[in-house]
Amino acid sequence: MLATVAVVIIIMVAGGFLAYQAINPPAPAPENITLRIWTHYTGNASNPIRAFIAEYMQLHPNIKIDYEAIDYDQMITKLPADFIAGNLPDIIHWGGTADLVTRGIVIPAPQDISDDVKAKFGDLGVELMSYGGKVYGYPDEAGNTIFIYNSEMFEKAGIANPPATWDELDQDLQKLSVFNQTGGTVQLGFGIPNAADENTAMWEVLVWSNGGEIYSQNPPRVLWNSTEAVEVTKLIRSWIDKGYVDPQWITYDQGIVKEKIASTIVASWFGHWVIELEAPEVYPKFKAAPVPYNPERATHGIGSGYAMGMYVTSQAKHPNEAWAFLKWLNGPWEGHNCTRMTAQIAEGVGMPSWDKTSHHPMYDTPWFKPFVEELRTPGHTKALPSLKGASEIEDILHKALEKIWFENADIKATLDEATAEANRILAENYPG
Amino acid sequence: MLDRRARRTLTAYLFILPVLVLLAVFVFGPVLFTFFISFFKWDFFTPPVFVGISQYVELFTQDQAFKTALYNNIWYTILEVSMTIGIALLLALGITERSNVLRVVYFTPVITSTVASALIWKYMYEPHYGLINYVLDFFTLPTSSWLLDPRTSLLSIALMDVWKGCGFYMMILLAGLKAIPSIYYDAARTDGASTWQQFKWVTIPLLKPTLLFVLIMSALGSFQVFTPVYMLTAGGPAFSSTTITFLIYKYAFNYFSMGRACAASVILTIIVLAISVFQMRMLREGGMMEY
Repeated sequence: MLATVAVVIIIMVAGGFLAYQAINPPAPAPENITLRIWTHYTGNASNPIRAFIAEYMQLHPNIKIDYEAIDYDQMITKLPADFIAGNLPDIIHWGGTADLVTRGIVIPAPQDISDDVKAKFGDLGVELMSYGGKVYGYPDEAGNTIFIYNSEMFEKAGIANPPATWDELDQDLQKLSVFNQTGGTVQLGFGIPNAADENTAMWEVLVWSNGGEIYSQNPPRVLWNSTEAVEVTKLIRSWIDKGYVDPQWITYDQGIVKEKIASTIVASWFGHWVIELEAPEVYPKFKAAPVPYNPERATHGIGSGYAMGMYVTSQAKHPNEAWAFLKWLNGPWEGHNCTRMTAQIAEGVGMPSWDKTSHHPMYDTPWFKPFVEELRTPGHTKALPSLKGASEIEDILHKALEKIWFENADIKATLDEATAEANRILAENYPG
Repeated sequence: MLDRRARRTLTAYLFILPVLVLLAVFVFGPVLFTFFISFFKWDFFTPPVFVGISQYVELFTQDQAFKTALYNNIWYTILEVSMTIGIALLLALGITERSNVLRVVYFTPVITSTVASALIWKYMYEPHYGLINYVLDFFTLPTSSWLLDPRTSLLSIALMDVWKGCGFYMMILLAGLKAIPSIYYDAARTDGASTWQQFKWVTIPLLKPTLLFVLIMSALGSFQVFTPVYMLTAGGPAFSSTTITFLIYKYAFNYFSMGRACAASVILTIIVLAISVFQMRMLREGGMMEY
């Protein structure tokens, strides 16, 4: 009798347990996934983000993040090859939203991510990561380009403050440019950046600081032969003729670092990655300031920004997890007054980020502070629109400017020719 | 059933079949694909769009960069070939009777990595701190901005390329010189010919096939120059050193204009083929038989 009761009770308990399990099944074990991410942060530049990735993997044991650092120049050949092979990673860190979207490389952000981006980042940063009204990723590197100068060389020339206007800049360059008895150059006041993108960026910020525009909108067309643009080109050409500028100098490594060139217009990465690494004793002498402007046409200088950002690719195996990681990476970093990605951009790359509220301790340094101030002051930073064919158009401008700097080509005619060629390409991509 | 001859032929083809497959996949296939894509507008990412020969027309009529590159390439070939042949011939004549050490010295640049060589030359060409200007200045000779001057950028690249390739052509010319029987020189000396006359009337005619070979090979190589341009000047300043192969790279991987890159590649192939055909025709004539 007792045995029978025991058996009945056991059967009832077991049945009840099984019934409970059927109604409330245990949560499935999280699927183990691997997220792949490509960035161009190699070597020490990737230290912060690698630490954050390790932290994320600890918080999410089922997620493994495979970080691949690809040199900038290699990315442009790897991207198309891997796209064709269907081998793009989940997350790619790159720039040029229009190119990435129109070629089907990246996908738009879901609504919650889009809202997060708009809440955290400045209007210009959001605009650069958007196309057709949709947000496609998180902007990070602001890379704004402003005026930098060697304060010690300025002091020795009797200049107390950096120039605010073109007239002041012209006077300062005259004092800073030193020649020997035979007319050879001992020191130059200003250096034109040698690389194509930096050369054109220098010219563009001066056009903006002269009240001009680089592009018209709807449809986009270049305005390189505008009155303001021609004035800027003539100004720089006059510096070359007066000997304040020599385009045949290697501006960064030989001019700025060896204190033979007193100033230039460049982005903030230059401070750490060129000056501090090559000549740490020279780095403290360098300061930044707003771009000098022409008061007859403008009220302040305008710097140039660009946006590199993190996108989720169209071939992502785990897009939801990828967006979740990016949201976390661009979220507040506990115990710090900035996001994790802001820390990566500041410490790893030496640039401010587009995040409008973060404050990294590096932002208080004499070098960094003006870059951040210019970036966050409304109207003091502009960016070129993200357009299809941007790379070829930039090369056309670069070639035209170099013909003017090196060969003293006719300014108006050269800019007219370059404008026509660039607009021919734009008309193919944006018929209007 | 196959007869014996047919079986032997089939066996031979079977032996070379693996290589033919490799050639088809990695050489002929890409060449045909390149030709095919040159008639399409394609950016790698979106489906190709057929445009016919418009990209060829565009390269010759609207693309300033291509016309500049073609012009630069012709000038580069003239510079590089003339310097290479002149210097290689002088070296070959100079070391005919010398030790093997000099041959090793002159041949070493040939086997050195082009990238490493270009980096060293880039430092040497630096206008204010480079070795070349330092030496010139030491002897109170005029200096130059070399790579940063549009007038000298192409010449600077050619000098590096000549230094790199001279040893190879020197060895070829050396072999050609050694192949000339000494009886001709003996006969010339007996007739009272001077050294210069021997060179002009014996060496040059009998060296003609080798010289033509060197001429054509160096011309073919110069039309395909890429690494020195990429490393030393990136095609600048002001596109003054942009060559066709460098421009093809830019079309494909900077501008993502693969169709245009293929069209430019086909044009380059035609130029190279024309030079090769010229070589074959010229090598059928001349040499010791004609002499």
